[in-house]
Formats: sequence, C-alpha cells, structure tokens
Amino acid sequence: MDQRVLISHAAPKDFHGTHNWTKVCTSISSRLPLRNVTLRSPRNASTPIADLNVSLVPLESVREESVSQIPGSVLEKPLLHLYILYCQDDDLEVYRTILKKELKDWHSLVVPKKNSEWLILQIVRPPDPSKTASRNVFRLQGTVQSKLKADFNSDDRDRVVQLTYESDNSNDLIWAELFHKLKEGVSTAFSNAIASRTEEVRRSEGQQSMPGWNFCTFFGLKESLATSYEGVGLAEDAYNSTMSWKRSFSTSHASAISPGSARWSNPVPGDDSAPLLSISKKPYKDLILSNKIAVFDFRIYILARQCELLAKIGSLSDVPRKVASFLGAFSKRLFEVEAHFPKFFVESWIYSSAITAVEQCTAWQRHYDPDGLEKMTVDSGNAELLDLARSQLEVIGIELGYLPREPPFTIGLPKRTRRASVVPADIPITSEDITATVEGQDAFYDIYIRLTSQTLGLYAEGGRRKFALKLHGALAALDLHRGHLYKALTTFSSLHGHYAPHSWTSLESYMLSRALDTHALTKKAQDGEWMHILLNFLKSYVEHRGADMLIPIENPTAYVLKFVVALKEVASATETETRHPDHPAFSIHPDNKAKLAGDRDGSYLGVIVRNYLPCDFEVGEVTVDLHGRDGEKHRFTTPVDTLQPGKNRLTLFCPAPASGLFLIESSEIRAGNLLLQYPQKKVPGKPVTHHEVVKIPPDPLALDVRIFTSRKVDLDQRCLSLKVSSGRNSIQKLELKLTAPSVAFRYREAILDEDAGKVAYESSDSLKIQDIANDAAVGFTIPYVEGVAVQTMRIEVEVTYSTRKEPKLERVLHLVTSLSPSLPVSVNVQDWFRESRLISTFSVSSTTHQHLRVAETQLIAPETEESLKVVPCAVRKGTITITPSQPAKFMFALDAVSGPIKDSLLFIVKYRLLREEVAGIIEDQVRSALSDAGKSQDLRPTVVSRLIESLERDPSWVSMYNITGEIKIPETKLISGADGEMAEVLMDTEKRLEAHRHPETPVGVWRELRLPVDVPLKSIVAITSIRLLGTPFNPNLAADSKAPLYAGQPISAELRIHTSFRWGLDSDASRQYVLNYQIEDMTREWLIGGLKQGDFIAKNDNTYTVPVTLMALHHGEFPLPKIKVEAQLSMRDLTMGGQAPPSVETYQSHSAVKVLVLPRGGRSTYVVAMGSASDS
Amino acid sequence: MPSTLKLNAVAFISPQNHPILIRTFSKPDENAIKYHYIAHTSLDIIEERANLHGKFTDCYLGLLYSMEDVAVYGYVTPLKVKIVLALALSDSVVKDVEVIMLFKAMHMAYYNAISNPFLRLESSMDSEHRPVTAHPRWESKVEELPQTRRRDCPSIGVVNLGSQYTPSTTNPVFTDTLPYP
Repeated sequence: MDQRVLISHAAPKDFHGTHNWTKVCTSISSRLPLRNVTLRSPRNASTPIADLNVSLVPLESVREESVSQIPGSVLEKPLLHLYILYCQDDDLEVYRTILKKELKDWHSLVVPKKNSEWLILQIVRPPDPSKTASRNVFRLQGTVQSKLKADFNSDDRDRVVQLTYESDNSNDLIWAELFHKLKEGVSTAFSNAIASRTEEVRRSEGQQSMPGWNFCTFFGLKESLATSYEGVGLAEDAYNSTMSWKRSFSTSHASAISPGSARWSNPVPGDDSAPLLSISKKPYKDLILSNKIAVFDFRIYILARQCELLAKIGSLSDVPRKVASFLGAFSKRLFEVEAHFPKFFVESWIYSSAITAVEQCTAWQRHYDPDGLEKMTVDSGNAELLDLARSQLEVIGIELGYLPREPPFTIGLPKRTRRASVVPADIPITSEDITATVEGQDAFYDIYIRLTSQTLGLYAEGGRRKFALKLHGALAALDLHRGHLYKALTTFSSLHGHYAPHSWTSLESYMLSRALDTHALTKKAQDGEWMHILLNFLKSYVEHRGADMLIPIENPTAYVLKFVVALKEVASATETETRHPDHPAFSIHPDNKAKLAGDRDGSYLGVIVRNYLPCDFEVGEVTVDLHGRDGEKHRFTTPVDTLQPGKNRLTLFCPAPASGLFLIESSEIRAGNLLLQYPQKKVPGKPVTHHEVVKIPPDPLALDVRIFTSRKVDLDQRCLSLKVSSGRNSIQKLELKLTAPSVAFRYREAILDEDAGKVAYESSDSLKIQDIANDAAVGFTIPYVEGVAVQTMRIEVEVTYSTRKEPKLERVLHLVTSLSPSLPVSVNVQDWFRESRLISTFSVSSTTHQHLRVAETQLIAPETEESLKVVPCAVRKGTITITPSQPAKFMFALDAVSGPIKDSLLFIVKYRLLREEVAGIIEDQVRSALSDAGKSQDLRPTVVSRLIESLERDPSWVSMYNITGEIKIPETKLISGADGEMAEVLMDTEKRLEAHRHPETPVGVWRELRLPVDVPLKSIVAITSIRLLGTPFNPNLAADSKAPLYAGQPISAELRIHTSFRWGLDSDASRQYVLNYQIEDMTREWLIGGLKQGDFIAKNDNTYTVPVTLMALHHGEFPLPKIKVEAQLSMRDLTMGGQAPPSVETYQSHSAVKVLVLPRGGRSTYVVAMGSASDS
Repeated sequence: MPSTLKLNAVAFISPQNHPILIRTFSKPDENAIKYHYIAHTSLDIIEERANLHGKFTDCYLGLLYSMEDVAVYGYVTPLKVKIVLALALSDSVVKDVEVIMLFKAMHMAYYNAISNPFLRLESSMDSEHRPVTAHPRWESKVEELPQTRRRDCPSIGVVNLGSQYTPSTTNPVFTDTLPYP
C-alpha cells in the first residue's frame, strides 16, 4: 500500500492550465519528495523523515468528507492546500479586481477543512531593470505580496510565499522558502490530524459499553492511525500502534463472538492454502467496513499487517517468530472448533500458512537484504516454521498410519482428540501437498523427506545445529519405519556423538538404544562396531544412571542385561582385541598398600571395583599395572567371574618379588577380548597433581640378587660379583641377565664362586642356573668390558625363575643397582735407588670414607726375571685397619742382580671393608646362634639387619673392634624394642659378638686388588760420598779414625761420585754421559776449597774423584755437605739428538754421616770444689 | 485475573550446557523425550540470542520458540545456569511478568538447593560435570512448584516460596546468584 501525502493545488481560472502554470507545477513536482521533514511521532519525539512522498493533486479531485463512515488514513485527504497565483508585485489592480475574489473563494473553501493547512504561492517575474524607475511612482500603494499577507494571514503564521520564477529553473535557492513553508505546513497538519484521530480513537474506546458501538468502526479508526504513520514512513510508530490491536480485539470483540459461529470462522474453499501474510488475498478492508469479517480472517489480517510493518522497520527476524506463535496459538483455537471444518483442514491451514509465510519472508529477505546475524535469525525462524509444517505432516501421517505413533514423530503431536467433522464436504482441502499425502503413502514420504531436508538446510544456515540433529533423528526414525534399516543404523550410530560433548546423556543413550534396536532388526552380525555402539550406550546409560531413560520399555534393567550378556558373548567370540579406555560403567580403586604373600614370593593388592550397571557383568580378569622407578613394571591380576552391581572387593596377586613405591599406571577389566582400560589420567598441558601410589613392603625372604664389585680386582680384567640368594624358594630354574649401558657382560667367562655354594649352571647369552636349595646363596664373578669409563654403572638385572612349589609359574624379578667400578683403595709407590737395590714403598689408602682392613700385601716378581729378588720388610702379623686419614705403608726391597728389568711386578693387596667384615661376622654369629637355639633361619635377615642398623647409629664400637675384634652392640631401641623370639636371638648374638676376637690369621673372604707395577727406570744412579782424608795434624785419617777435627782447621777430603747405569734401559755399558756435580753450600758450617762444582764424564760402574778441602767454621756436630749431580747436556746433544736429558738419581751415601768438630785452642775453666771447713 | 499458564516441563542446564535436571509435569511421562529435545534445542536459540545481543543484560530471555502446543521460555541466571520452561501454548496473551515470576521461583529453588552445604554432589562419577544432580529434595521442590502455583493461582506461589525459603543473605558466596527481588 503505497501512500503519499497529498497537497492540493488551485489557481486562478485564467492562469490554470496555461503553459506557465504547467511549468510551475512541473518545477514543484520535480523538486519532490520533500526532504528532511520533521514529523512529531506519538512517542513525542520529532522524527526526521528523509524522504516524504508528496503528490500534487488538483483541489477539485479531492473527495468530500463523510463519503465513508470508516475513516481512512489521515493522508487520504490533502494535508496542505496550495494556491498558486501569477501576479507581478505591482499589479495591484489586477489583484484587487480579479485575483482577490477568486482567492477569497478558495480560502473560504479550504480553511474550514479539518486537519489541513493552506499556503498561497505568488509567482512573480524577475524585475525588469529598465522599468524600475517608472514603477517607483506607485510604491506608496504597497505590493501585491503585502496585500496578500494583509488579507489572508489571520494568525501569527505567514502563509504567503513569493517566488521569483526564472525560466531557466536552475536556481534552487529561490525555491527554498516555498519548500520550507510546505514542510512546515505538512508537519503541522499531520500533527493536528493525528492528534484529532487519536482523540477520536479514545472517544470510541470509551463508548464500548454503549449500545450500537461497533468494533469494526473502532478498529477502522485504530488502523487508520497505523496507516497514517506508515504512509509518512513512521513504520515503527505504525507497528507500535498495531500492538494494541490484538488486545483490544480479544477484550472486546472476541468475547462477543463464540467460536464455531459463522462470525468466528467462515471457511471458504482455498482458505487452507491461502498465503498467510498476504493482505490482498481477501477484501479485508471491505469486510471490516461492512462488519462482516470473521474472527479467523480478522486475526490473519492483523498478523499480516504487523508482519509487513515488521519487515519494513527492519525486524524481519521477528516475523517468523510472530507467525509461529500465531499459528501455534490460533490453531489451538481452530482445533476447538475442529468439527466445523473438514478433516485435516486445520493441519492443511497450518502447513500452507507456514510454508507461504516462509516464502513471503524469503521474498522480504531478498528485498530488504538483512545483514549476517539478522539473516541467520530469519533463516532459523523460517526453519522453525517449516518444522511446524513438518509436524503437521507427522500428525496426518500418524493418523493415516503412515508413521508409527511413537517418538520422535509424536513429539509434535498435540494432545487432543479429533472431533468428527460435521461439515459437508463442499469445502475441499486445497493444499496440493496435503491432498497428495492423504492420497498416497509414497507421496507422503516424499513430501515429508523433502520438507525435512529443506528445514535442515535452513537450520544449517541459521546455525541451529541442535535443531538439525533432531531432524536427522526424525529422518532416521522414518528410515527405520520404512525398513531402510542400514541407513537408519548409520544415522543413529553417528548421531549420538553429537549429544556426547555436552554430556546430554539422555538423548545420547536414546540414539544409541535406537541404533542397537535397529542393529538387532538388521540381523547383522554383532561385530566390533556393534560392540562400540553398545559400550557407548552403556556409558551414557551409566552416566544418567537410568534416570532419564527415554526409551519406552518396561524393565530397563532387563533391557540392559540383555545387552550385557550379548556383549560378553561377542567379546569372547571375536578374535581381535577391543580396547575401550575409561568406560564409566566401572571404576577401579586399588588400596595404597600391598600385602606380602608370606608363604611365597609376591604380594597381594586389594582392589575395589565398582560396577555401576544395574546387572551383573561377566568378566575374565581384573588387572592393575604398577610402574616403578627405572621403568620397572608389575602386574597384579586375579581371575574374576562376575562383577556384581555396586562394590566388589577383589584381591589381586603379583608373583614378582618387588618392593618400594609404585605408581598406578593403569587398571584393566578383561571380558573375553574386550579390554576396559583405566589409565592414570593425564590431562594434556597440566601436570599430574594427584598420583595414586601403591606401596609394597620389602620381603626379606624373597629371591634376591646382589651385585657388587668383584673381590678380586685385576686392573686388566674388570669383573663384578653377583650373589643370588634364594630366600624361601627352592629354585628349579633361574635365568639371569644383566644389562648396563655401554657395558658388555661376558657370561661365558663367568666363574662360580666356589666358597658360596656349588650349583649346576650354564652360560650363553645369559646365566642359567638350576636347582638352588632354599636359604642358599650362589655367587658368580662375571667379567665385563666397558665401552666408556663411568663413575657409576647402572646395571639392570632381570631374573626369571620358577620354584619347585610352583613350577609352572614363571616369576620375573627386575632389579636395578648401581655399581661403582672405582675401588675403595688407592695405592701409591715411592722408590729409592741404590747401586744394586731398589727400595719401594707402597702406600695403601682408602678413597672413600670407609675403613679398610688389609690382611696382606705381596709384591711378586715376574717369573722371567730370575735375577730379581723381592724381599718384603718384616711383616707385621695380623690385619691392619686403614682409615681415610691414616694410610698404611708397605716396604719391599728389590735386588737386581743384573741388567734392566723389563717385565712388571705384581702388587697384591688383600683387603675388605670394615663394614663387610663386621657384617660377615654378624651373619655368621646370628646363623650359629639360631642353629644352636634350634630356631628357624628365617629370622636371620631381620636380626642381621637390626644389628647392622644399630651399629650404624653409633660408631663407638669401632676402635675397640680394631684392636681386639670385640663388637659391642650399642644399646638402641632397635635392640631393646624387640620382643619374644627376636629378643632372645638378639641377646644371644650380642653376647657372642662381645666374645668375638680377631683371629690370628686372617679368615673369611677377602677382596684382592692386583696391581701391575713397573720397575722404575733410572739412566744413571750416582752414588756420592765425601771421604775425609786428613788434617794438618793427622795427614792420614783412617775411615773410622777417631782423630779430632777442629774448627778452622783445613781438612783435606775426597769427593767420590760413583756412577752406575744398571737401572737404566740402555744396556750399552760403554755409553758416556757428561754430568755436572755441585757441592751444597753450607755457608754457616763449611768453607769449601777446591772445585766446588764441575763437569765430569760418567761411565758405567765408574768412580770420579775430586779432591776438596773443607774447613769447619764453628764447632759442633753437623753433616757433611750434600752433592747434587745433574746431567749436563752438551750443545751437541741438544742440537743433534733432540734427546731428553738422562734421568739421574743421586744417592748421598754419606747423608747420614755427621762429624764432630771441636773448638780450636779452646780454653775451659773448671771450678773445682776445694772442700769446706766442715769437711775438714 | 487467574493465571492461565500451564507448566509442562522445566529444564536446568549448566553453564557448560550440560543438563542438570529435566522434569516433565505432564502425565503420562512417555513424552519425556520431547522435553529433552526441547531443552537441548533451546540451547541453540539461547546461543543465538547471546550472539545477537552480545551479552545478556536481562536474565529473562522471553519466548524462545513455540511448537505445536508448547511455548518455550528461557532464563539465564547471572551465573549462566540456563532455565528453560515449556508452557502449554494457549491463545491467550502470556504476560511476561507471570513467566518471570515462575522463572524466579525456579531460580530460587535451584539456588536454595545449591546453597545447602550438605547437598551431596555426585561422588563417584564426574562431579565437576554435574554440579547438582537430581537431588531428591530439590527435585521435589521443583515438582511442587507447578502445584503450588495451581493452588494459589493469582500469585503463582512465588511470594509464598520467597518468604518460605528466604535465603540467608549472610552467605556471601551466593549472594550474587540471587535473583533480583
């Protein structure tokens, strides 16, 4: 309905219709519509209207009032009357005689008109400059404009406009005033018109209760207001005014008309398929005017008008919603009077209305082009409407038997009973789709699927995923009903995944149960896929605990049980393993402490398994995997038959002897080939805050393997010792394997330690031992080759063994020990050379904080060197203790009879740690104490560890032990706190230990360090001596002369340097060296005369003699000066040979010699007692 | 004027869009799936509204959509718990005030339930995912609501509820979750 504001125009007769008149009219029209008109809206705000459509109409064409009782829009009548006269300003004569009268007539016609304004437009020519002077004469008489103003302006407002018309029509400025006045006039007139119309409406409303009041007239008034607003472009105000329509309708009118009467609804053929939002499909206006409109039509009309306005104001998204709620609400009313319609008439009406409304919306959408979000809302609104249409099809389908009467088809099914139609069949159903569906089942399905797909498309565009899911469910249900089982199965089994993310378990389990039911119908083999669907179903079932079971079944528990039983069968039958992590049907809670088995190796772990299913669940076994340090893994397991609903307490067993703290890595429930796994939860990106740990206590009687450095250490070949203690087990078979990074173990060269016990063994890639009795220990020495020298070796020990009691059970013991290949002792050698003898001092010290016990040291000469004789110094009997601060020295003399010694000697130290020795003693004593008391040796490990721990706490016993061998156990709680049998054994052992003494000769097991020692080389050994020859008084002093020496007396002496090349490598005895000697300065004691230093040529076994004179500077006893001998490298040697200087060792043979020097000419005064008087 | 609202179902949905409680008041209960669907699909519309308006300035979302015989209304608490009501559709004008009153009563019932320190949260399963599970007392309260409303039709029982279950405002944790009085 395109409405525009009318402006009537009139003109003097002689001007009307002339060429100029047409020109003026065209000029005005060409400048329309009016721009930026400010209109006062009922919200009392001034709303600027950008473009106000205005039509110029001749005054004569305007209809007279009171033609119709029902007022139309206020715009139906001109809001402004314009009178255009063409008169020069000075043509007063013409004005007075002709124009004024005509103008008066017009004025009297126009002014009484209600709600309109008037305006006089005087057109003048541009003034002619040539005539200006002559015209001035009449100026006094005034102008036509002023006359006009004086004659017609009755109030403050100036309603006369003068316009200087120029023929080129280009200057917009001259029109400005006219258009300003026009806008002002239109605005005022519109406000007045609206005000008076509103007043009319109010008055009419107040008269409701009066007889003869007509709703249709009242409505006409109300609608005219809206139409008026709409006409001027105030669509929003128009819509607002329509808001009250329905309310006033329902309060006043509807109550008067009973549903079912012809006045309420008067169906005509085609009503059920008419486009809902069209206001032209019926002559609504006339029907209203004639007061013949039915409520049905009236409500549709109101809706259509509102929707149209909504689309206009840009709220297109509200249209589908409005339509939907209207259809929903009004159809309810229609169903109340269903009997007055043919069957399916109302459904057909809703169906067509929804579809046509969507079409209309789509058309508006194209026209108004809403933005993204708005468009999505419109799309989803449209989809909702189509959904409504779809549910009409469902209603029809169910009634005709095309669809089953069950969800999801019954979701849209209103709860009502259809009333038999009482109308004759002359109102046919005109909707093609509905007619087709009624006629044939296939057509119904086609239409249903087409409409559903269309709805799906719109939902998708509107971003309504969840609605779309619902429709997919409906499609799948349809497939199921029509027997398209595989298609239905595929849809059902994929749909549940969409409900899972929000844990919408009720719908998820519904979909899954549909999938399972469909699967059962397809008679497909129950395979892995089926198992997955079932597991998911159980998951969702458990999550909502059966509370929101949407499946219409009588006994949910039986329903679930049926599946659980089938699951077990399928799981047993399938070949491939199916793993399912974190299924919520069960939860496994292990205790945090394991219990030792006691009578055999291994431990028990208590576990609570909760079954959340409402029925028993058959399983095979329950397993808990523990994870320790160093990749150690242990598996606790137990066979289980059924898990009852609720708590199940199980005890799991792990045969491997292990102890310590373990992390629970995962738990498993196995049913056939189905594995329900419960791994320790790791949230990616988050550190694990809560660890579930299990503590396994140590088992002293379990099989144990200990690794330590070999007792016998040969620096050429590294070995390690291991000791297998069988504990309580009498072992049938045992296989042992060691691994360490970059270390190769040579099992083939392994040697059984004879002293520990004899067993049969074979060695290949591993060590295989057979038949070890219980409480026995077997020791081996295994050589190894190290790739890289390391500080500590990390050795992993893997032992597989079976016992005689349980020959079929193979236990695996996994141990990790670290071994330090470095020795606890270090040996340093110091050598002294004599002419034919070498004295070596071996200093043995402890490298750690441990005390060492050294039993014996030996230096063994190689057999090849027969000429070499080794003489140990007088050996102290017994064992020596070395502390970190106090090393021990062992001295040996080597007599080399001839020539240089090429082969190295062997130094052997037999030692052990004090700790080991004491532990061994305690072990022995406890063993004998137990056997004497006739008690079980099972107590031994505990007693020994208690005693050792007690000794560790207090070192006071150590010094006493070193001396005597007595071990005094300090009084500690560990000892005093024991009770019963243990206390008895402890007491006994304590006494035995106190009585213990060191044996005469070392006993027990000793470690042996074999150290190859090279005989050191020395090219030249110089033996120096100073021989005193004579004094002035005693020219010939014998070697052992007692002749006195006096200070200041020159003593002739002889310096002898004997050189020997025996300790050198060079066997060439003829070789000569230039040596340099130097006599030490002893400036306080000796004055030396003669060659104090000098070079000489040294030959093998040759003596060089230098005469010197010594003079003692003071009296006393002091040594002779020392002589330093060095190799003197000649320039030739340095330049030619590049030879290192020969090593020279000087032995001062006189270094221990001291001489007594007497004072020369010394005078001594002695006081001799002459006796006293008393003596005489 | 007596209220003509008829409550068919109510759904409480957590801020993470997990269902907390879905209850139907229509007997027999075979149509439960319908209301599960309604609750689920309502989330789409609530999300749509949130996108459209950026942020909810008002708890009450008004009519979400209507189906054949059900009008679905939405409400989002300040802590983003969504409450969805399915009202039987009638041709009469539904006053928002009445629906809001009903929502506030629901919100209050929920609020009272969760402010109970002795409320047993589901222990064995994923308690995070299900802040309040079908707690018998609370459930019964929700069940009672429509009945209360039916008894004292004019005021739909909210006033009674409010005075009966006035929460202690000294509990600061929950103060902001209170529906506006």
